[in-house]
Amino acid sequence: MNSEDRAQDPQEMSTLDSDVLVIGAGLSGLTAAFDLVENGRTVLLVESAAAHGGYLTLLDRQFSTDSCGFCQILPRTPGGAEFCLKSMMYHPMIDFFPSTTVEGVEGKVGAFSVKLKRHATGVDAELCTHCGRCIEVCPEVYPDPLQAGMAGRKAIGSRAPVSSPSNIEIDWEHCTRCKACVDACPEGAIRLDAEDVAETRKVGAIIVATGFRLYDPSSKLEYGYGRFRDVVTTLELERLIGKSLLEGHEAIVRPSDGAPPSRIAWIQCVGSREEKRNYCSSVCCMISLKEARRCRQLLPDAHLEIFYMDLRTCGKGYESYLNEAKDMGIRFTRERPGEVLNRDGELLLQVEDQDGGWREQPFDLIILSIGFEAHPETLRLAQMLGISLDSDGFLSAHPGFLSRTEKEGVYMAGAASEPRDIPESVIQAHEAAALAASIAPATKQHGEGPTVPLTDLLDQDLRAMVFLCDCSGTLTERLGGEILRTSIEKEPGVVTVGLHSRLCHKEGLETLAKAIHETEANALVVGACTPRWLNQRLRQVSEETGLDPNLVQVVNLREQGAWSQGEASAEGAAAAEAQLRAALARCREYRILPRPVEGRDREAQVLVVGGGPAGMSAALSLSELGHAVTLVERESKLGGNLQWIHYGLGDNFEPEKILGDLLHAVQETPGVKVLTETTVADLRGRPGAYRAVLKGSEGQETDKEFGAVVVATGAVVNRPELFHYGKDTRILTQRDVETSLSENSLDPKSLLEVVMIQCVGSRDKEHPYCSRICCASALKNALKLLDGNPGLRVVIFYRDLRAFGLMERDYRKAREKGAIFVPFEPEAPPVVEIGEDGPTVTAYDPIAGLTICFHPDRIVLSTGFIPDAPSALLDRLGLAADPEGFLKEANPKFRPLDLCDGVYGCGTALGPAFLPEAMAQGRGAAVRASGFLRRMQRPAVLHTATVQASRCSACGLCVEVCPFHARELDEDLGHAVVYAELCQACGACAAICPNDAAQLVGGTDRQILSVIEALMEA
Amino acid sequence: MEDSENFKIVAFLCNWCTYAAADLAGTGRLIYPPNVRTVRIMCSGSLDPMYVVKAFLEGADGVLVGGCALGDCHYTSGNYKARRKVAVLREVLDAVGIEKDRLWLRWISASESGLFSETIQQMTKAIKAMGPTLVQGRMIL
Repeated sequence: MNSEDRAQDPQEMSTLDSDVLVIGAGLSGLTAAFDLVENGRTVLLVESAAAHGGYLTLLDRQFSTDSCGFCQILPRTPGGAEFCLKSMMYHPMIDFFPSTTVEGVEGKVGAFSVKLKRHATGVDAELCTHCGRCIEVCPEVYPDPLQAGMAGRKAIGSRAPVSSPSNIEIDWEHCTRCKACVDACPEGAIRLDAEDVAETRKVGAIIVATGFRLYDPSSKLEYGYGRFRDVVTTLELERLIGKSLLEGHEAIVRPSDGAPPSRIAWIQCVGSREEKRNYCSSVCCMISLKEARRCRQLLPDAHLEIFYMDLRTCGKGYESYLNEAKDMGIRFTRERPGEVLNRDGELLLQVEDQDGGWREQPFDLIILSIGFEAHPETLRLAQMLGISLDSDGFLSAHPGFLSRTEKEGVYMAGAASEPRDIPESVIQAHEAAALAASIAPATKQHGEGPTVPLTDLLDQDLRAMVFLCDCSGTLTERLGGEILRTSIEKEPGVVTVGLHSRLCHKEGLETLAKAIHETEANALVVGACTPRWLNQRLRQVSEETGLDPNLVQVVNLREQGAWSQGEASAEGAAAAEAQLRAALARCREYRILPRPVEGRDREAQVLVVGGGPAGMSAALSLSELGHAVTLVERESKLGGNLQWIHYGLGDNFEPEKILGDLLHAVQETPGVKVLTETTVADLRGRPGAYRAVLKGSEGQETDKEFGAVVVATGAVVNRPELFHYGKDTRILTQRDVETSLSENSLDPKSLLEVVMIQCVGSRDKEHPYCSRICCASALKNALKLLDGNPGLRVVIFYRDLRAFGLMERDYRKAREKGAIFVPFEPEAPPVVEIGEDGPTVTAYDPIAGLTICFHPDRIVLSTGFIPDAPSALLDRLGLAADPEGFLKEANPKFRPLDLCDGVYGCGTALGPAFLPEAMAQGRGAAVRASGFLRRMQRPAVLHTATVQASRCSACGLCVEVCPFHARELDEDLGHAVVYAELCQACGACAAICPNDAAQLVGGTDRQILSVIEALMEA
Repeated sequence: MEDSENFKIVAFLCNWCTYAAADLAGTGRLIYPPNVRTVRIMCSGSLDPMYVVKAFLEGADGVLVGGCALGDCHYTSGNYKARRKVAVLREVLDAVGIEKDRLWLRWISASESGLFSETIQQMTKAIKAMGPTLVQGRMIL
């Protein structure tokens, strides 16, 4: 990387407000921000909406796991960020500015000066307690576009339907300035006259993660969106399902009459793959599949039909997701429907008949699978930053990268650069974080905050101060505040009970700190709102007053108390009292536990297995992030599959140059030690402390220790014995053609006809996955052949032409240049025969309705990848391959590069990938490994599991049950030990330990049992 | 149950999903009966069967364990561990005279506030119909 322009003046660096600016707090922005803080960089996170999370907050479930895993991207530090990302966002090293836009950028890498505009939301977030009274009184109701118009939203309210506590803002477009909310707000938090505030901040690097906008199908008059209430978009269906279930319906109900639909159609590619939007939105096929599967669960007898052009399910594991959907009885029809009609209240979908005529098929609910569009904010930023956009408004990446822009120090992540799904966005965000972190070194030292001494209740009595927060008059009234106070005062160990109207405010926190000093309390119990939110505010109080954080307890009297009860009741008051008593009991039974093992010397070296493009990229990034690397390659030459790639789609993509640059950089980087003709004979240990045996070509073995491992062992090109491959020199693979074209041993002018067959040895019983790259290989070879001989006839037999994303443009180009695309069904593939005068291809053309026969000069098979995972090594690390034989991730959606803490995967070993993807995965794996190693070196946090050695019988159950490899039986000590820096405090060990030796700090059995007793006290 | 309103359910809720759903239910002002007393645990997998037994011995009429949906667990597999434990525990409870249907295990994710309040209402109804547990004071463990 060129670093000559980099601002290296240390003085200038130290004036930075944050190391990196991340624009956009959706999935990609958050992922990059968390990677950066894990690597010790401070982040300024700016979001134009009032809340973080982007579109993800609107989705209940994500494909292909059909579950939610948003919290998986949080930094894995127990006691730190312990919340659901759909509702909260907080990190001490992230300055988070919602409702803020970037208005100008000056300077260069290392010293950007950024002008920000913090938009007036009308609600002072510092004062707002989220009591919701403003929403109650607001008279302006309008249909919420995100709820399919089935629910209203108000001019003041929270944008995301799932957000707690919410970010309340005013929608200025609908606000009439009636001031009803101003009068209702007990805090005076509403400012109708609030003005935008301008601010300037200095940062070292910038990541643009502005995301996408969904296509508005109103202009597609033929589909009747906006005219017919039962024509909705995929996002609206998502909310419709959520809302129907929320209201207690057993199934989903349609908007027009609230009846459950029995016939649902999805129309794919609405606003994608058109002349004007000449790209595929990549994600919509999977979204519709997910929704259809969900509808199948809710409506077992419904007719569910997806009308599609090509099913582009080419991500990891997506093919089996599609096959399962087929088994669930979801119908798939390859067709673009004509029009939606409404006849006597019944929706009719015009579809083409087999004989070319139109028929009308009735449906109860029609879903438009709408595509992605570039976000207007991206355009504004691109102009400001001086980076270029393509014709559709997407940011263009530097060849060999997913996230690098043409401007140094500016990176991008997520759908701002191309429609992307979750794992693709996460990978790109990891890469962006790796690049930004290597250019913006940590400028400030961030410790873990002052360490507070622990309080030993065996030495001193409990002196608990109880404070009840009234939350501006909502709580104590309903829960009988005074009675509550009197009865709690009598509890043993309580020194005083205070009442306050708003403890979360600055003034409230100061009151708390002052009262703690005055009463010399050694414990604090606060009855207020949810601890998931208040805990982070109270951390400051604990630090200021020196209270042991284990003796600060929040009792949820608001969300799970007053707010969930219709009116004040004796039971409600009794429950509140019991919960307060339970918190006191938890304090009373708190004991200091032995500290887990920490502070051992840990290795910061990383082992990278595999010297292909992914492995080399990982090694180089790791070195930039400050780690020594050993790169092991079993062959005599580095380069892996990149050695066989000679050209790509697009002229500025030069694989040979990329390979040359990588090889040069790897050789020139002193921190990277390359060992060719070397294999990993053995690998053992635990995260942070691995021991590898490296075996050279002559059998010599070396022992070496590593802190982390990156697996980049690649995949091999499939050469199946199908279609007479290997029996006739005219039958080739795509790779063979690429090689002969680049060596000039094949002259396109010498050919009259070439037939290509897709999905050879992919998407079949033996290899049930899509190899992702073969459609693109066919396109690039077809275009290359046609460039050399425009008169050549190229016929491509395909099942689904998976030219996803911006590759759609190449697909169109190939068609325009004369390539002929003929679909086939897997049951009736083309038949290849070797006759006397050469091979022939016979196939049925469903469009022409005829059986056609070709005598091509060459038959080119698109054969894809087969996995080559190092199963023996994985086995020794307690890891496994996925059912298809590729590396298995910790979480396929949100942690696509983590195999476990300490072991990371990248490149085609994870699954079929394009070259820039594989390289981005390499850099991403580097930033993950580096973040992990940094975590290992930080002092361990307070809240972990621990072992009481005297009680441990070394049975090993806790070691087996720990999902994080944080426990081991120490044979010298004769008992189990916990590695504090690996422990995530899930408590599985404590639950399984038969002797009570394994305990969770802050939640010991002793504490929980006394909590239960207190809860049950009459 | 002499005083049919005066029964108690102890709910062990996982921090990441079901506890968050309960918070969201409150934010959405979804009303449910006040018979529930909650214990926030980091993961449903950290539930020690002893906690459930203790709750019944202390006089709880029902116990709810709430975790992330299968596949959603923040700690990868804690909810599977909870599922195993609860399955065995229900049989054991039945054998010692505590009807197994007093112990509920539900997967409620953070955004499913409606499901949370619905579950509490259903459970309250079911427990009410079963009457009080007869275990309190009769067993010494």
